[in-house]
Amino acid sequence: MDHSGATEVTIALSGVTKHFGDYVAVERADFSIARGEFFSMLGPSGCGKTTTLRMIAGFETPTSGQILLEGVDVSNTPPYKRDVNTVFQNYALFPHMSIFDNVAFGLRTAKVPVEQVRSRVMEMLDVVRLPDMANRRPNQLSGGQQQRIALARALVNHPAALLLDEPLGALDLKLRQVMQLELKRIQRDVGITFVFVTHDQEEALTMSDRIAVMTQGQVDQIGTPTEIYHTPATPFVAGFIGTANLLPVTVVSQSGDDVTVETRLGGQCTVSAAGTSYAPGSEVTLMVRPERLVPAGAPLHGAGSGASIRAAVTSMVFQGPVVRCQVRTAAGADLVAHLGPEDDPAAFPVGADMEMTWSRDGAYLVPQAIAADEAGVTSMEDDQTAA
Amino acid sequence: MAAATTDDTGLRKGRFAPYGLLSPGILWLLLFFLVPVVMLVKASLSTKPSRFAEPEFAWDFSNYTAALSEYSPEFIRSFLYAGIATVLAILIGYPLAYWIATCGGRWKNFLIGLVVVPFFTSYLIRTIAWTSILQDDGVVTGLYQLLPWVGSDGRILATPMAVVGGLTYNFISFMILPIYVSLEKIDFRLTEAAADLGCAPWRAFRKVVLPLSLPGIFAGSLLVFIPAAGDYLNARYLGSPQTSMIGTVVQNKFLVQFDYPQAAALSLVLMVIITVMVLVYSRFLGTEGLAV
Amino acid sequence: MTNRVTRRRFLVSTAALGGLAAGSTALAACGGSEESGSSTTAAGGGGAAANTLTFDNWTLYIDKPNDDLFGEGGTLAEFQKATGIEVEYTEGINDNNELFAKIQPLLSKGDPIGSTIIAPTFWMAGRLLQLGWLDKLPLAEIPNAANLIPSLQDPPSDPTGEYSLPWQSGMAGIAYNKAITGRELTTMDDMWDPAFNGKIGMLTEMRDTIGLIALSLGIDLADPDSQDYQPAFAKLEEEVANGQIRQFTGNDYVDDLEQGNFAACIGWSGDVAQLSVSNPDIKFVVPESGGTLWFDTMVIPKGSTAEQIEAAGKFMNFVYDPVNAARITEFVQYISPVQGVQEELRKMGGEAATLADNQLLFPNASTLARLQTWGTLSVEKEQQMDEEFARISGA
Ligand SMILES: Nc1ncnc2c1ncn2[C@@H]1O[C@H](COP(=O)(O)OP(=O)(O)OP(=O)(O)O)[C@@H](O)[C@H]1O
Ligand SMILES: [Mg+2]
Repeated sequence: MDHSGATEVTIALSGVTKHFGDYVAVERADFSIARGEFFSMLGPSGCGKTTTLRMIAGFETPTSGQILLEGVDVSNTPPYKRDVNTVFQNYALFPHMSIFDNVAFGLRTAKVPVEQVRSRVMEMLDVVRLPDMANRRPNQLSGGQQQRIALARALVNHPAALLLDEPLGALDLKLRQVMQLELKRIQRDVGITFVFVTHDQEEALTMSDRIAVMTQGQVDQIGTPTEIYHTPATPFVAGFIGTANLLPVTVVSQSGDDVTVETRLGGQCTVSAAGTSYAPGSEVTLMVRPERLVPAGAPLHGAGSGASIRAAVTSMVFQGPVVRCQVRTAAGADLVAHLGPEDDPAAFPVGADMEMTWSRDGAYLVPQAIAADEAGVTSMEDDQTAA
Repeated sequence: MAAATTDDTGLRKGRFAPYGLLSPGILWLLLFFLVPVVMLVKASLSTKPSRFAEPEFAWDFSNYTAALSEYSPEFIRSFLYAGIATVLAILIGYPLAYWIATCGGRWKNFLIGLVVVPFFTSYLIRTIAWTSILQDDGVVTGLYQLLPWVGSDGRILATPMAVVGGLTYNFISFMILPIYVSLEKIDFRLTEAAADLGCAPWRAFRKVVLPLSLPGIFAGSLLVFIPAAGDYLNARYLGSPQTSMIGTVVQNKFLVQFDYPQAAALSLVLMVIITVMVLVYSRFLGTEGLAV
Repeated sequence: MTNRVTRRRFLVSTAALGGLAAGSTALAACGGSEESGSSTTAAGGGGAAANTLTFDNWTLYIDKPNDDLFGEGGTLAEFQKATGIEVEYTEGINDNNELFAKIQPLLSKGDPIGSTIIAPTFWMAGRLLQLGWLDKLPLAEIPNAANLIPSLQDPPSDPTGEYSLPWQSGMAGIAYNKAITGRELTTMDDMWDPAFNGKIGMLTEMRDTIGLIALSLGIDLADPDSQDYQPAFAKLEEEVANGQIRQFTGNDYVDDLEQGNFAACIGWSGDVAQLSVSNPDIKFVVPESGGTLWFDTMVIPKGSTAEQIEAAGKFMNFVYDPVNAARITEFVQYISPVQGVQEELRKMGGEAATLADNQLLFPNASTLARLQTWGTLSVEKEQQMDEEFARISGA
């Protein structure tokens, strides 16, 4: 255990691909997870998160590619020989054993001496704050309690990494928020690498050191929550993390960090190139987050000269901290702006024309094109309410 | 439970409802269990003045002493054969049930159907069919005789082996079905959890699947052991005079010798021993804790 | 005498069909398995209709043209044609003791059993007679009773001949498979040849098994109460203990003989008569020391009306006509108790005529001289012998 240095790699995937028959569940996953990191895999249902996690745990064998655990290739090692533990989505507690026996299961399998088992189990039950439940059966616990026991059962083994597959999925919102903090605390306390699967972007943003956003078997982007939020690599990531107004634009010119683009309505604006060089005439996507879109005349969020667009108000919804203002441009794209307390919603009745503006730094250029009918606001929340 | 006493008025109306619901069951038990048992006890304590006379109730316990002193070899044989048949049924039936439950896929129902198919034939005919299969001039016996320790005059029929085999065969479905049901109920993600916690497949099976399927093994054991211990047809057709079981004796006492008191006493002794064995067995398996 | 040979054919063929046909359960049920008593005897309350007669018999024990009870030309149909009386014929008897267990509760209370004629084996008929449960036969209606063969007249089970008429008769002797014994057998001692250790079968029927052994030891069967059969039981016990005797069987010994499980066993002539047609290696011999002659009887248990008894008499008279008796013999192939059957069979020609020369159906005088029929055992003696037999045979 002489590993040291913050950037030491616990898990590394290189070119990992998984086929189920003709179906490609995971395609060329390439990333590594550092020791002690809270790493999340985020993506819509069916994108291959669980499959990736199961390959790390050893329940599935990659069709091709390699998985390294602490530098050792474990691609073909059975799960019981891998130093990782899993917290299952349905918890998978052993119904015929007491809580104590459940938590002690891994230690006993590893033939840890009896006295040590006792102290380590009780210690872990303390960590998950359920010290009095040792003699109960799993079916005598609430969902949240079972969840913690599942966590304790995995953590007590001090694995190199803990794999969690939507561990909070079955809990109600309130409990989920409590458990999110709890998980974070425990992870800090034990200092173990967490690989956390979720399809809840808010959960991923609040808990993770880094997030891998997946879609259709592919990893679109890996980065810190800030990077993913502010500089999405693809229109999908932009829309999947938070709410994004996306406009298809054409590059007019680039000089230094300034890129000038033209919208479909003919308006032009300048955006940061963020280190990328764009050929004039290439089709890309302009992203403006709702909180960066403000009525003309209001103070701009972010530096740089602004741009503006005219649109008709289609709805105005009071949401507590913000007012959600939806407008439609002449090109038919729906945009959403979050009006703050300083804006007066009454000034913009539904149907009225209004001019929306944003600053140079309030916008971001996603280096991929989108189709015209994909223009406008996208967010997972909309998808979810629609579903 | 404590709340039950608090709300008197609310409960008054429904107080007898549970008993009302139970009454068909109680009636059934009374009619088909208690009444026959009482009649059996009465018969077992009776004497017959002469062979074809009606038994007379006489608190005559000699039937019991005779049952135990004269027929202990048959009792022992019955429990031994039934016990071996039960163990064999577990050893053969469990892997089969496991295989169907885990690998059966969409064939599951078909395969379970195959397990039940023999029941469409009468028990007697199934047993007699084995006498043709195991006949001395048959293929099976021929192969058996090739075993180094058997020799050319070895036989299968009319041996304890054939009786135990017949019992196992005739009752194994009663083992497979409950085990299959209990395995079906198991969430096999639990074995993944065990593997995840360091268990090699065999240990995962032993620590998780096996304990969770114990209720099925328990139920199956009762369903095999009880009828097997009381059976006489297998001993009659597949056995020899040296393999007679207690069921043979009871059958003969009832039907040939008309010795109802003795037959009743034998049946009751069999019943009591089985009940005791079942209780011990259920302690041993700790079934109450297994209700999942 | 537990089961008739044709029933065995039936059992074997259904067993061969394997488990697949669900129908075989039903078939087996009507064939009557040992585990489930058929209810035909006790049920059916009286059969009281004026022009019907109820007769409960063993399975497949009467001619059935085209496998149909009332088929064209069958004895039952002919009888109805001749007398206008319809016979309600059932095949509810599988076993004498089972039959007794079924009718005893009714007859002991004086209730009718639902059948006017039943066909117990002679000793069971004797028991029913001793218990006072039989009505006299209407001999006035049965002039053909005069055709009864002399050897079965006034048997010990019915000394005056007023209560029973034999239905069919047969011998118990040694049945053996020559392919296995490799030689002819002639005496009971041949059965105890160590070469056949574990290959000898005995019958669960106590009278035949003990009877043959007793005869081999020079113990007489005609007046059993004056004899001590202990030596016979001792001999049997010895042969069970040394493994000579493999099994005690009912009628299923025929399978054991054919399948090579038995080299030899005690068997019944009627079975072997049919079996030897397909397998000439299966032989039957009455041992030199003697064999037993048994017969099933027609008796009328108490409780029938005068009309029913009269109808029963007419039926008995009908089947004691040699022409009708020959038709039954051709089918069941047992020894007919009716004189003149042999001639009738010859007249019929063809296969029937060959039966007329079959020693198993028409034993010659020297064979007949070696046969004995059991006298009536007292209740106590029978009970004691049954117990002893059960103990030794492992039942
Ligand atoms: N054993 C399997 N056989 C065939 N296809 C499978 C198998 N397991 C998963 N898949 C497919 O692979 C794809 C990815 O599945 P996976 O379980 O990894 O999704 P996920 O990202 O975890 O989704 P969710 O959020 O709904 O749990 C799905 O389309 C799924 O149908
Ligand atoms: Mg999943």
